[in-house]
Amino acid sequence: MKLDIKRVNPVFTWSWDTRDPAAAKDRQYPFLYNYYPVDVEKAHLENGNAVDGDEDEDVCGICRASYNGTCPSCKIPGDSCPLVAGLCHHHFHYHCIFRWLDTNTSKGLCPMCRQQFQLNSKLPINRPYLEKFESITKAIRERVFLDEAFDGNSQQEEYGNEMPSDSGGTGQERRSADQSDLEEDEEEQEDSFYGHLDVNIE
Amino acid sequence: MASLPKRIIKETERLITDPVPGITAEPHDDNLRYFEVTVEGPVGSPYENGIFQLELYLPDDYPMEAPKVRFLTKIYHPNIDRLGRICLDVLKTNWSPALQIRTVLLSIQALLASPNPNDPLANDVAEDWIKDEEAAKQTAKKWSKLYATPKQ
Repeated sequence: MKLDIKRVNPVFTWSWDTRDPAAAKDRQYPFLYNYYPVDVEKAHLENGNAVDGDEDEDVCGICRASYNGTCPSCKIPGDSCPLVAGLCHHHFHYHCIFRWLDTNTSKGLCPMCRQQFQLNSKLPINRPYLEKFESITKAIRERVFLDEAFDGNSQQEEYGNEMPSDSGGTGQERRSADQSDLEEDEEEQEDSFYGHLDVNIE
Repeated sequence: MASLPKRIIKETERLITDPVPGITAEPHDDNLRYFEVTVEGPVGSPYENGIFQLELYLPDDYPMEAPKVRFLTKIYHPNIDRLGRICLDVLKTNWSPALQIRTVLLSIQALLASPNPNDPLANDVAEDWIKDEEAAKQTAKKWSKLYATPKQ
């Protein structure tokens, strides 16, 4: 039989057999190897997949299930529960990271390193999800913007001194005074936020 | 109740088979999302030798949402109020699903070792703490002896 490989989508899967007791003796932290007293071979046979412990590298940092397995809401691994790779080199089940970014607490940050989570657009495996992530990061930016306005702890360096800490109203006045015809669409969008703030504060 | 996610089962297993030194967490028989927790006061802190009881609850949305944790034992600490509520960033705004029950409990233990009166929850305690730290620590010690010492 002859096979033609049309396309390769490399997916980060690798395994280290760090639990070899003989090898463990020479390691710096032998106690780490006592975490899983299970017989690895046997567990492989019983579960049909790798033993996915907390300290393993090859688990999703959110649900802690293996990259080769599924997120908690899926049954079948593979295309129906894909993985995505962040620019920060942290990888998650697509469903897990999406659910996290959709929460208010996430602020768009990677759960592992707290940097802004962004998909690596160069990787083919991410390609189908770029658009969806773009829309969610936009929603997050808007949410963070509003949160900071309400907090009164707005980040001055980011939004300039147009953002008063006590009320949205004065901001808009000052803003309109500064307004010039050259303002772009993006800034108009910001204005609509100020308008929104007025309604809510008063 | 919906079935327990595998992550919670795994965390619970590890808490029991490989507990964090100075911390115990056991799930309730009736509700596996509810844990009875004890935390030993850190050595060198005013809470040393005290054993503090806490309750920890994993909301339905865990790990997208932080666990809810509360002190049941009375404690004199600027970041813990009289209802046992805890002011700790990882329980609120800095929660991340990469954290777990054990890391949260470790953070709480660390909070006992380094109280932060500048971000208070119990304002009266924080004031005392800033005014006279030594006296406040003595009170904390006294309270620990009074309320956090296991009955013989």
